[in-house]
Amino acid sequence: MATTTTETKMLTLCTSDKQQFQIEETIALQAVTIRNMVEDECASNVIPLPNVNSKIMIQIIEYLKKHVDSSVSKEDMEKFDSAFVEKKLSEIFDIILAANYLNIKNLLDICCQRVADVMKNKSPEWVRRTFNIVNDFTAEEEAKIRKEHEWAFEGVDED
Amino acid sequence: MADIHDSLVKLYLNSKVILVYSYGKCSFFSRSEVISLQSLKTSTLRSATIPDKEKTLLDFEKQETARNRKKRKNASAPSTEPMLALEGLETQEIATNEKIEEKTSIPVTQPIFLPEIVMEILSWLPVRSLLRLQLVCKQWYALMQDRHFVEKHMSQATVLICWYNVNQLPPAADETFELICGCDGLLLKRSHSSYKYHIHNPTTRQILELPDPHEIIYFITLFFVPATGNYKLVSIYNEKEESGSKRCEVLTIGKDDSWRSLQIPKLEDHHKRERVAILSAGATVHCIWESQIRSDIEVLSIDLGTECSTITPSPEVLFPDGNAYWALDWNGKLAFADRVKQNLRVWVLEDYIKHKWGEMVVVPLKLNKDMEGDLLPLFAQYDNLWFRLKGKQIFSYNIVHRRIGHKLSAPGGYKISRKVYQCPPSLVTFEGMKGEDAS
Repeated sequence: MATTTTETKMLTLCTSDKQQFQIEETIALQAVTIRNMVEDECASNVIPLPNVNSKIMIQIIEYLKKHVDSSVSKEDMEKFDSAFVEKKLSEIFDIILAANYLNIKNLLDICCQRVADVMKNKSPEWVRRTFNIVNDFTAEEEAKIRKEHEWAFEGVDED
Repeated sequence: MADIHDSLVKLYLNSKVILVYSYGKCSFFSRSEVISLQSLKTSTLRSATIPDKEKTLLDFEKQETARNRKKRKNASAPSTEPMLALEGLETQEIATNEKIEEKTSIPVTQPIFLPEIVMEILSWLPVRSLLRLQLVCKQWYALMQDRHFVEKHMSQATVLICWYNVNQLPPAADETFELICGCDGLLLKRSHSSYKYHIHNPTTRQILELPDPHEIIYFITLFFVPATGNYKLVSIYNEKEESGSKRCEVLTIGKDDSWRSLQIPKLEDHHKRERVAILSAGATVHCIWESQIRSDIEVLSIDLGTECSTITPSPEVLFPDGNAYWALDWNGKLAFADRVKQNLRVWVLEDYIKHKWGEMVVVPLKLNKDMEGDLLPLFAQYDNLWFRLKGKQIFSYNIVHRRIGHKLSAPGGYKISRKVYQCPPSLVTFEGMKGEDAS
């Protein structure tokens, strides 16, 4: 980058577990929530992010650092993104929550797509179990909906 | 007789959804054939400048294609739908899925998500998965009936482009249909045997039978009216009596049990008028009528939100050279265009309520020789003007930079003509819809 390190404006982000991260402002401002805080001058030196822990913050910073770099080709960026989401689902969920809170659209999109990919060929039972969702349909209701779209239940992955 | 095009093809590139529908002479077909975007020539796709986001979606589309193949393999009925996805892509996709499997073996222990995040995630799923997963819980079920979700899903996850080729007759179809128009993944069709109209959502495989409209129809079209949040059908028909004047009727899906008559202004000199085209721009339907006297055109505009209508005569300066002309959607407004050498001249109906035509706009076309052939302007969206190159491809032309952007070619054996219809898959469903096989 053309700017020297002495000129680079830094921001300090403070996570829920009270860890502080010093990052360049240009990197941090990709998160709309942070940008709004800075623009509204709500935040002076340290930006508190009570909804994000340091473990997730490290990953988000990794993502933001890559995405601020305009020299990265589209293809490389896509490669980076697809590698980035190769994580455990539980981690992806944490990133989704953080990306939603920080308002980082593309990060939210790629993580949500990743979850969608996993669910794509799964049965409702698998989804309920995996995501801890209680089935609040009666047996009759369930049978009725199932019957309406029986073909959609063909060829799902084994649970 | 005026030398005008015999059909009107319309294509939207709204974010990532492409939709083409065509009007014209009756085209006979028995069964829609579905081919996904993936089956377009790979080289064509590569050469196109596809923005970042869309590219991601194209990748997503590969997965959709793989899914569709799977669906077809599992379908009990013999399928005549050719899927031309590249084998290599599918193999790749399977490999990725396996990887995902490994990493999802650990169940999630935390309660999942705010409704807004559920919506984000589910909006990336193909329709088939959604129809299955609406069974997860009532919240998910409700979400999939929600218009906001349906629109979000259409605009982002449904990049699948289907080509409904009405030209190829598949064997052994019991009933054949005329494809009339399409909107949001819905096809308006008419049976050749029973003459009944129905709305078909080929993605959810559901059909809604429609009450019979009056006969001798000039135009019939279906579209979504944001102001009322409904889908409406509009039909312009000829009265049977001797006067033969034109009447209009409307059917609001999910609300009206039968067609409602709608008052429209009387068209002058109606006996001499020929049907030209119908075009929906914004929430307004424009019916374009031409008399036998050249350039005497009347435009009947019906606002489907308020159901008010008005007639606008053509601007006096229109088509001074007697060229062929086209009607097209110009950023949500009706426009007429003709072509003089390397220029496209456009007249936009700026305000149909005030009958105000804009000044003539000249768009210089810088095209290669091979692109010049039988060009049909389709519509303009922002700075992009879309054309159909007869029988070959659809492409966009940036008016400001004067260069070609996207190029989409029809898959092998398919021609881009008025007989090809593209329609994005959608979740749109109506009360009273039945399964395809049920009827």
